[in-house]
Parts: sequence; structure tokens; C-alpha cells
Amino acid sequence: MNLLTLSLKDLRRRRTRSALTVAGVALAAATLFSLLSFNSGYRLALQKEMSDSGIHMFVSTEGCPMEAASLSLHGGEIPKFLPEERVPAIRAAPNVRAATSILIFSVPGEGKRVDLFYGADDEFPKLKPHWKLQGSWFTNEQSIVLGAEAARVEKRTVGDKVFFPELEAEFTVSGVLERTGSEDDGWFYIPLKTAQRLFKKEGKLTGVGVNVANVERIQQTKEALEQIPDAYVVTAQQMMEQILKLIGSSKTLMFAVLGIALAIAVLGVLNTVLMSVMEKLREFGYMRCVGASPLDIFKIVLTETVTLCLLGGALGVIVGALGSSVADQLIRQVLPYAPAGKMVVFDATMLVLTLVVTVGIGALAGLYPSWKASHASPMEAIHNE
Amino acid sequence: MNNMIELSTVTRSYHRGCERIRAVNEVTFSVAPGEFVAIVGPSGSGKTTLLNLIGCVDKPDSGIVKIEGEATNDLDEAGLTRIRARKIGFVFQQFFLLPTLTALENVQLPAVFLRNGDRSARATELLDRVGLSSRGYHLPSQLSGGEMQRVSIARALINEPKLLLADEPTGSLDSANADIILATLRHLNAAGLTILMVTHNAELAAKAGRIIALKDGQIIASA
Repeated sequence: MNLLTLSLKDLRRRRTRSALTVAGVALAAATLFSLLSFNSGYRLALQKEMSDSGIHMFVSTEGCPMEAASLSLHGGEIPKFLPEERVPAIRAAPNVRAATSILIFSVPGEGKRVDLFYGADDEFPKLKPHWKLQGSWFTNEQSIVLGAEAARVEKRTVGDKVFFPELEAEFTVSGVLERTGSEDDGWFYIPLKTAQRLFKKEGKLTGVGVNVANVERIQQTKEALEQIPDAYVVTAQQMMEQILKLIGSSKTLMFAVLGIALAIAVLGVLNTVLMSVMEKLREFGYMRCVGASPLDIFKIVLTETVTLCLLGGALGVIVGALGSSVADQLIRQVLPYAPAGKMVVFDATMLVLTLVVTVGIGALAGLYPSWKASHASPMEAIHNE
Repeated sequence: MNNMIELSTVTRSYHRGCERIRAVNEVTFSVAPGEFVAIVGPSGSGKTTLLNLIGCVDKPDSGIVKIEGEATNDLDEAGLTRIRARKIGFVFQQFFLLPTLTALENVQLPAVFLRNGDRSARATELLDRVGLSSRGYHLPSQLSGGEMQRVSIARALINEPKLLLADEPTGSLDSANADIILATLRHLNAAGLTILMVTHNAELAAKAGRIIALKDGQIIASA
């Protein structure tokens, strides 16, 4: 038997209270673990999305080029358009390997669903060398290529007809994308000319996605493209930085919530341990009588506290790991921009950091009760007998 | 050879409101090694205060308290803890056994604080000596009052102290169990252990080798 045994046995004495405290700590630890994992995972997911888009820079017209660029990733509509006649100049700019004309529209579908249409030309597949396509790219003006998720929802495969009542248009599926895990999975890709006709935007583009031959010379390419009339250029790097800035305030809010959760956990632990200490002051006094030093008592109580927090931290990590997809969905709802793919990605560093922080704040919460217990008077214990 | 206990004009006062009460008033006496001394007196006579001073859980206002020749007046908290852990065994009226520990673990408790290594063998031996060898793995809640007091006596002996302080050791027990406890204490005394026992019970005190009677914080008789 040793001091650790004493601490552990005492925790079992008040099982319900200990379990509730562990649950409180676990909740805070799960939040901490999820947010730490999100913090590192978000940037990775964003980088992957940028890379998967194949677009090194996006050329749009006066207005908000950043918005137009983000549309190319997520869909939506903006009221300003780039004249199509600028495309040859863009393609002729130095270092441009491929430039694809894009017209994006969203149309209300069944129920709350929104169908995203991506009007694209034949250059578009060059930006997506990683794509695996069942069937082929457009074969005529009424062809459609379905993202994997779009095909699943529509229950269509290559050769099937698909009719959109909101557009009063019927297409033949020429190709279906294999699942990419990115936003690409949800799109309906239709020929650019067809899209311009259906949405009455002949000669107009949402923008032009540009893929460069040498990314090290991207700045020079950007400057060259900005010489073209009406052209506003945003690089993928700028987009990423803007998005990271945009979610900065959301992150601050999330970490503020985390701070509150941790503070509540600390107070919960403090309350539990302090209450336990007050109930056992006489026992500690008796322990002093039979030879315990103040430091022994301090260690016993602090060990109890740290054990509670360690259990809570471990449980929190398990809950956080198991519930990462739920956390992903919850976080996705509060972010102004959420990339496709997993945003909550955890690793050993996050695990260790969560446990260290949990145990650290637990130890902090245990300092006062431990000090209080260590000052239990042996004489008062005997007097009260 | 040093006395086991030596008190020289020891005084300990308390304040109750504006009134100053001398719980122990210039008390002088000594206890030789191997003695069995009973301290008797009515409530408020200063018995427990005297036991606290000897047990190093309290300090006198004046006078000198020595345990095995070592003055305890000027010792700091660590020094007092050391004497309590190494030289003195305590037996309380209410037993004070930790409810989460088995009888065997309760007996080992003072050895844990003294970092005295694995004392489970000695704890088993002590439980055997107080007639509880079959109850080692029982929790206090599964023991009778007499059994709990015997466990607390075994616990007091785990660090092999030379002095046992007993505060009303039979106060919570029926007469049959009180007799068992007294027999145990006498047996330990016969083996060389010095015992100082505070009691209300005149019959119990009569079994001690010497009786010191207190009244109003002063010794009124010693025989």
C-alpha cells in the first residue's frame, strides 16, 4: 500500500460524485481535443481542396474576385460576369498551361435541395488530372457529367437521361465521377454554351480558372493577367489566406466556448475535491496523528484530483475521437467557409496535448483543496471526537 | 536511562470568550519505560489536553515536555510529525479507521506515512496478536466495535513505538469488549510497551500500574 492506493481507494468511496466530475472533465477534454484537431485539420483540408480544384488562380470581373473564386469551389451566384472575349487573352498569357471558362449557377431543387450547375468547357478536365471518370466528358450540347454524390442522389449512371423540371431541360449522362471526397462530388457539370443559354448569360462567365505551368512564376503570371481589361485575379494562396482570415473570428468564438468549458470543468473539479476535503478534514487530522506529514496529505488530495482529470481527459479523447465526424458537422455549421473532406484530423500530438492540458488544469484546481487538507489540525480531529 | 515521558511545570491555557482557562496548570510528572499509567478525572479536568501535549499534537504555553529524553517544545511541525510517527502509537475512543481500507490496510497506514517499506507481514502478525487474523480483509463496516478497536491497537503498533497513548479506549464498547481491550493492553504492557491511558472508567483505571488523578488542570493524586 502507498499514497497512490489511498487516493484511488478514496475516489471509489464517492463513486457517483467522482463519475460526474470525470464526465464534466471528459466533456471539456473532448471539446479541447476536437478543436485542437480541427485547428490543424482545417488548414490541411483547405490546402487539399485548393490543390484538388486544380485552379492556381481565378480570373473574374470587377467586384469581389474573392467571392467569385470561392464560388468556383462551393457554388452560388454573383451578379457580375466576365466577358467571354477575354478568354483568348488569358490563355495567351505567359506561363498559363490551361484556362477554363466557368459559369456557375444554383437552382432550387426538390425540397430544400439546391442543385449546383457548373458550366464548363473542354479545357476543364485538364485542371483535374486526378479525376477518374466513368464514361466520357461532354459528347454533345445535351451531355451532363455527374459528381459521385449527384449521381447517387439522382440514381443515374452513364447513358441515363436526367430531366431538370426547374430548367425544363433534359440531359444524357455522358460521364460519372468517381468519388473524390471534395466539393466536386456534388456538382452537375454541363457544357458552357448550354449553361449560358439555359441561364440566359450568353457571352458571360463567372470567371476563368487558370492552371499555370510553373507555380514559382505565379506572381508574374498574375501581373500579366491583371493587364487584361476587366480582369481581376486572385491566386489560390490569396484565397486560402482570405478564408483563414474569414474563419478567424469563428475560431476565436469556438476557442472562447472552449475556454468556458474548461473553466466550468476546473470549477467542477475544485468544487468536488474541496467538498470532499471539507467532509474529510477530521480524517486528515487523524492521519496527521498517526504520522502523516502535511506534504503526505497534500499529495494524497492532489493525486486524487489529477487522477480524476486524467480519467476525464482519457475519456474525453476517446469521445472526441469517436465523435469526430459529429464535431466536423457541428463546426461546419458555424463556419463561414468549410472545405470538403475531414476538417477534424487528430494525431498523437493532439492526444498528448489534451491530456497535458487536462491534467494541468486539474492540478491547478487541486492546489487549494490540497493545501486546505494539508493544514488539517490533528488536535481539532481529537477534540471533535 | 531516560524516562519515557517527562513533564516539568507544563501549562496550557485556552481562551473562552474573555475568560482564560488553564486546562493544564503547572503539571509535573514522569512515566518510566514499561509503565502502565492511567490518567483519570472528571470532564474538563485537562486529561485530553495533557494527552495532546504528550502526543505532540499540541504545544504547552510554558514548561517542558520530553519524550524519551527529547524535548518537544521547540520542535517544528516536521519534528513533531517524526515523533508521532516513530515513537508514539495512538488509540482513540472512536477508533478512526479509514472506511475504504480493509483491516489489514488500516493497520499498515502509519507505516505508509513513515515510508517503512512493505509492512503487510507485520500487519498480519499484529492482527493475529489482537485475535483478528481471520478479519484482515474485512472493511471497518463489517467489524464490531470491539474488533475495530483491536484493529486500531494493531495500527498503533505497526511502527513499533515505545509509547502507546490511549484516549478512552473502551469508551464506545460494551463491558465484554472493554475487557478484551484491557487484556490486550495489559498483554502489550507486559511485553514492555509503555502505556498512558486516559479514562473515566475507575474500574479500568484500577487495572493500570499507576493512576494519576487530575482536577482543574492539576494533579491531585498519584498512586
